[in-house]
Amino acid sequence: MSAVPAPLDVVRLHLSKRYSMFVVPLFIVAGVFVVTAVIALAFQRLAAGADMADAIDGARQNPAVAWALSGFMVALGVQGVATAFPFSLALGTTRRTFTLGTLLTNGLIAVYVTAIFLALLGLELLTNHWFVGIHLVDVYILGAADPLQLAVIVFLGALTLLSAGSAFGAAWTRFGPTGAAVLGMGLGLLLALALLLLAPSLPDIAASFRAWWLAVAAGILIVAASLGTLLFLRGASVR
Amino acid sequence: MTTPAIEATGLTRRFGRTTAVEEVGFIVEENSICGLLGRNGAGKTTLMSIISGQDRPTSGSVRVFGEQPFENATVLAAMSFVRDNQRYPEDYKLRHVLEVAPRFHSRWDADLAERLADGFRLPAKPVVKKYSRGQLSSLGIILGLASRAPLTIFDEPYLGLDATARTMFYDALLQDYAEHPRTILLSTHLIDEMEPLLDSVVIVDRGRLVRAESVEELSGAAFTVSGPAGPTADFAVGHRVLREHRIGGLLSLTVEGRLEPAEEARARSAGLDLQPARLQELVAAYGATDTEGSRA
Repeated sequence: MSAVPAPLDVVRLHLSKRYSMFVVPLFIVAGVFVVTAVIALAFQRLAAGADMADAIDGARQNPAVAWALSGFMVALGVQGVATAFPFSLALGTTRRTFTLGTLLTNGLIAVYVTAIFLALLGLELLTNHWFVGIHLVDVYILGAADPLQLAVIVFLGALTLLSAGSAFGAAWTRFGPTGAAVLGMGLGLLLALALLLLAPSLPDIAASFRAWWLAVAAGILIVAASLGTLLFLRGASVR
Repeated sequence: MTTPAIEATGLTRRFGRTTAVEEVGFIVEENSICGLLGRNGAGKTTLMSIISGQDRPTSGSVRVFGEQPFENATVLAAMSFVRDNQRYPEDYKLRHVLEVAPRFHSRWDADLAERLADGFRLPAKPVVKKYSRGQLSSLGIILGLASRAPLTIFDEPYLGLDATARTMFYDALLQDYAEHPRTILLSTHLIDEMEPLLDSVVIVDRGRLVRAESVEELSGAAFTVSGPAGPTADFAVGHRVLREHRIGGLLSLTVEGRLEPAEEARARSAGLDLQPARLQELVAAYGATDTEGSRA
């Protein structure tokens, strides 16, 4: 019998799409940088002579760079499963190996995006915010210039979004567009229900909130999405 | 006794209310070339999907090299199944396919893949999803042949190929099969062209098995009798007529079964023409039963 394909072989299959995986994120970040710079410079001209502490605080509230990549990460996760799964099976891979290889690929992309953000933070701090007071990654949502917090937030955030995308891609492969739509609506309803049930306790929860809760939540979501991906793909026929 | 490469028993696959395959059972011996034949919608691709572990039967079982294939890493690693409408990852070009495939097939022959890509004149620059029908078929053939997978499955591999490319495929298949024997299952409608390649055939119609035999056994399984309508119809009384074809006062019948010498003499004396049915005619006849009507 032949050697059995390993998850790393599936990683190699995914990584052939180098442009969309490694170049497009750079373009998106560059685009956000340009828009952020234009807005920051415009505000600086408008608020000439105003309190700079307030201006800096306002700039650090800007989550643009985090949100800009979110949609792309989900799309990459969807595409990874929906287009690579039939070819992977044609080459003699099991659904299990494909799911594990896809999770590893998602992890690799998350590491790459984290490295980009860390490099940007280094440059941003080194150049005293790009010489003109632009806050791209030194923002509160990404840990306010703490490299460790930034690394954890970006890595787990990216991996969560990629894994969610993979689960949606698997739902689409299994049930067609209806599958992805029902999954989206189901999750939305679940979230709304949880919000309604927890509403009375929200002030208490907010008071005792710890940042590590988010890390645990991300971990749970990544595991749930990966199991969901495997479950959907096990029932999927390639047609 | 060796384990068959494929052993299907009572295979049934339903999609909602549609039954694609019903109670199909057959055996394909190891190191042989088997043709899966039948009309469009007969259930060929569904059978190949189940055999390759890309789908599961609703009931019944299939064993490949003695094991069930679904999620069986060892069995799947020994298999290559490129569909006629195979999808490839976004942005994939020829070089991506040729770089990735060897990681999945330990017996991959890179030289053969390169030679075939040159022979089929596959362009390197465009992404695979922009390939023409014939170019996609060529890529599927390369993946199947160069994989040297112990079970290689081709789903209508000739679609869109010109005569030169088809001849190239047949030659490459025979040569590579002779040097590296393995089990090949292929579905085809070009039965006359491919018959010389086949050791055995499985004929399906409307999801049901019609016949599963060696080509040798099938060669005398039916005959055609033709001549003036009256004497031809009289001759066929008591035989199972699979297909009839009428032109003016002339009638041609495809009749199931072997011809006894006495019957042959009777037909000759009645001025009727007798010919053994070619595999193509036999498959066409089985596909025509119940649509054109068969009678005994």
